[in-house]
Amino acid sequence: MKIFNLSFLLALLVGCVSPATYQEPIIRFQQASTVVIEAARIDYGSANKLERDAFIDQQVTKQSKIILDDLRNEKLRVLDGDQLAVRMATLDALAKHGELLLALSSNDAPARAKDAANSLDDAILKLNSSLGNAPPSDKIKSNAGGFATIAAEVTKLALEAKIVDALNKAIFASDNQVKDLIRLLKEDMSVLYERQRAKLSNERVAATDTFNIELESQKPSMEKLKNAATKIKVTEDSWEKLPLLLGAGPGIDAMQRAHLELVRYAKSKKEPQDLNDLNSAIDNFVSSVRIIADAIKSIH
Amino acid sequence: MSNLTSLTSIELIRLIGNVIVEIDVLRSNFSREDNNRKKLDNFRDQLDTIQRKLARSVIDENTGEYKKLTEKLKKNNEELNQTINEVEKVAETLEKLVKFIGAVEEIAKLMP
Repeated sequence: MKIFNLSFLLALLVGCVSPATYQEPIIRFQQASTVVIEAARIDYGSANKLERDAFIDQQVTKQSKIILDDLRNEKLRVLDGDQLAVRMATLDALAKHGELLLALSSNDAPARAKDAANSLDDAILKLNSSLGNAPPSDKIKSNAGGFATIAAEVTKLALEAKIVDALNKAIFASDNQVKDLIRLLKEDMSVLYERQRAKLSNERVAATDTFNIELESQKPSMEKLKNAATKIKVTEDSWEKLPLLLGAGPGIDAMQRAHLELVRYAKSKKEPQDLNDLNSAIDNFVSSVRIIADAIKSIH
Repeated sequence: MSNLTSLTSIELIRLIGNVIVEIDVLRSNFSREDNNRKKLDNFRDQLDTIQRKLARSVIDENTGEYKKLTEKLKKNNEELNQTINEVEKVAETLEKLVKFIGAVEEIAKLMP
């Protein structure tokens, strides 16, 4: 009997991956998620500024009055402050959920999961608070609310050290809520991209107009023409780069893929190949995010 | 070749964006005082305003009316694409834009 027990324990140890092995993907997932959240924060944050600037440019072209009431008009905003807060809280909770999922899958889950559960718990509190202020018509509201409910159950189970139940619930949440939430966030990013494209397209026309107006004047100034030409070049450069200025979009795509791999791993037998696949998915996540991080640096 | 499927709201926003870009290219051929330019500027503003409204609103993509209207919009868009790249066909394009914007406005009415 003792020999059987020993063999069983040895088999378990051979099959298991050391806790340290899990630490790295958790940290890298966490770091990459932070960059995505920061990129999304910039995209969301600049969305309203972009609309305001486009309106001002439009008034200049039309030679129309600019009135402060118009600048603070809700119609000039893509998202209000409450909608913005829900999105940031959702992204934060999604990242924390991924970290908990990974912690629950590790060998020393009870110890490791406690910190991750507390962290997710904080994120859910913030999410619930922001959901209370979001307008009912906001399409992300019901999905985020559903996610917050299940995630709260996961943290409770994790803190009670009911690891298997917590893991199952976390997988359930991922399969049912996380997928939809990430899809909605990606849709947001597509919409913001389209608004950016429309604004830049208008700037292209304004830039060529300035040049052509000067050219057709009675006495074209070479200096003004050169300045206008420089502006055309700058605008065209931005236009050429537009497909690269997708902001957090590709990062959210990568986050979605990494999340799917986390779930697949959580469901797996945790064999070395499973961990390799997970590491590879997180590598891709980190690589995609590195590009975004560079873009953020250049913005700042 | 017409593809008679309706559009998701994201596809709708993107399609409007494509037309805005095409209008911008076309209107840059004319001086600001030109009548064609003024009409194109006006159409552009209308589409820009509707696109912004769509960006911040929720529209039910599952109603029969929405599906029917976006199918119609796709047809209008196909017709528009036949001339919008040709400056000499601007009169024809302006007529098609009236139809296109009319269809977009009908969809916009479905927003809450």
